[in-house]
Amino acid sequence: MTLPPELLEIIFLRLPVRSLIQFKCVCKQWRSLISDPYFAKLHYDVAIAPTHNNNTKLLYLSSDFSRACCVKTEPSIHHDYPFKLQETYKNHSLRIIGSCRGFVLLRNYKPKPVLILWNPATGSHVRVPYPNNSSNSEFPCPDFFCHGVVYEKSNDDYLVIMGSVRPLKRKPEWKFFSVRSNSWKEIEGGDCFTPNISMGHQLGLLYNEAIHWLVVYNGSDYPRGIVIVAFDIATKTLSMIPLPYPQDPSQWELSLVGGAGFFGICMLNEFWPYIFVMKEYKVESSWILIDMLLPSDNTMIPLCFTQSGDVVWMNRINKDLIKFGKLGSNEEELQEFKLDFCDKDTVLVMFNESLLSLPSSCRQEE
Amino acid sequence: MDKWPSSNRYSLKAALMINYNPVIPSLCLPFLDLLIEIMSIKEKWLSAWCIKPVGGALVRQEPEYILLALMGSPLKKIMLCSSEKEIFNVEEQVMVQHSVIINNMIEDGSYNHEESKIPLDCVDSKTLKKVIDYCTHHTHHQNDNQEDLEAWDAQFLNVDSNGLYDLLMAANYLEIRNLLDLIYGTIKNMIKGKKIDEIRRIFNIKDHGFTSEEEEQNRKEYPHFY
Repeated sequence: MTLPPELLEIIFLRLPVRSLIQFKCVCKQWRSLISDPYFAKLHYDVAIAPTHNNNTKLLYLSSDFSRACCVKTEPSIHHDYPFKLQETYKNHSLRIIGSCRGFVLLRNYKPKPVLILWNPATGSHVRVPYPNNSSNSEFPCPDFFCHGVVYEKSNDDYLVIMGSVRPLKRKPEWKFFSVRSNSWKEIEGGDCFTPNISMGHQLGLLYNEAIHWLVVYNGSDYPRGIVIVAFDIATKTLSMIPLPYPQDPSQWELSLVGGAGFFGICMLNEFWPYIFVMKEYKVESSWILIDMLLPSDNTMIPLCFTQSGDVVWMNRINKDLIKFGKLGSNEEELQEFKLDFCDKDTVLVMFNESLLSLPSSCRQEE
Repeated sequence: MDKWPSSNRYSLKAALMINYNPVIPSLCLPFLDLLIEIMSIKEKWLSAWCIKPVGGALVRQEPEYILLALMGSPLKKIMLCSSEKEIFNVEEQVMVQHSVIINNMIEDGSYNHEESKIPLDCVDSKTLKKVIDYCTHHTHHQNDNQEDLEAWDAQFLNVDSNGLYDLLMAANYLEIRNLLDLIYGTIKNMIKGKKIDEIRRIFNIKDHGFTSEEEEQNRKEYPHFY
């Protein structure tokens, strides 16, 4: 049967990205249909629509840096097909530091520091230059702790955001890079938000058209301590969201948890974790403690929520994954899932595969 | 009631005079559409006349006056004409329920029950028969359980590639949503996970349009697709 393009498109919209990558090789007509940027956007919007019952996957780099492995979280945790990594990126300083709309932000230190925006499904990638800061000879230097990549819908642009702190002056620096304009800009008002070095590198949490990290706050309107900083994508400004209650960083370990429409924070003390979610975004009084089965020790850190309201946890030591659900579910039935090709430094990010390509302003490398 | 145009009030009166006659004269039909529209807003009008909806029909309760109004009477038939000029008589309600195109034609009054037949020049007799079969089964068996319906659907789509294509074109033309979804799902399952050569065969792609270098490049980069 020879289907007309409109009907082919309807069928393609229902297929997963992986099948579409394969079907690009069937014939030229199919290739041009699938490679069309408009189609890629439509496909992505359809795939992540809430009605589609789509669960975000988890992505991580294999310990030999030959591939990016993918893990699905529903109905139970299982491996998905991996993505091949370019030969040139096979080295031990490669690390995932952000993910958005099928793109993964990677940073590399050897042979020289570089940032890369990469779509694992299509293989296309672009180098992002480090900010050019002649007054600070320490840039590029791996002392940025808050990083992430976001999508600016109004401009069809991708932004890379970095928050760093100069080691000597302890002064924070916030910058963002726009792929379309191919340049870095300073973010105003970043003086009160200092990335906390003891928290190490943080993946940002994307929620409600903003990206979030945990930082130390020095503003005058709130006692000094850890808060959540939100970078609003539309206005390019930073704002503060207080925690459920003030934290002494030496007592608690904090991490942001999201996915499936939740915005939460996990607080781990020496015994066990607590998870708070914000019912109403940015309303301080709406933090509530979630009522669900939690690990009974502090070896686990939460990775993400799933559509069915469970939380996927990772064991810090052996990197096993486990899913905890509502109260009342049988604890004996909890299955531990072993990741393939991981090591102690493996970092997992939430990931949604896509066929999208970056707006052309950077030179595109295939 | 006072705000309704006088012709419609007459129609209602005429309709109410019908005793035990389930078929409504055509002059009442436009009024019935109005009634059904109002149904959602002004229930009290209907309750004043003791009319209530009973599964797609409006039934007046008093035994002396049985007003049976249907969105397409179940006994009413329409004529569909295939590309081979073969005529098929189908219950109006069945086609109206499934095909958006036919529903629109009957609703906007461009179709005259007594005289005209609906020409479907792009659908041949064999396919039209199958489509009618599908719609009829799904209307008459809509209260069956899900498994039985799915089993019937699977059996229904047990056709060769050409037959499936013809069904898809017909369902697309007639805008039969659930049949379309069913066929798309089947095609999706047919091609997911298959090798490229197999897919080319299914879709009758004789010339893939790539140069021999491009084709070689593809095979080298993705050997597991072939």
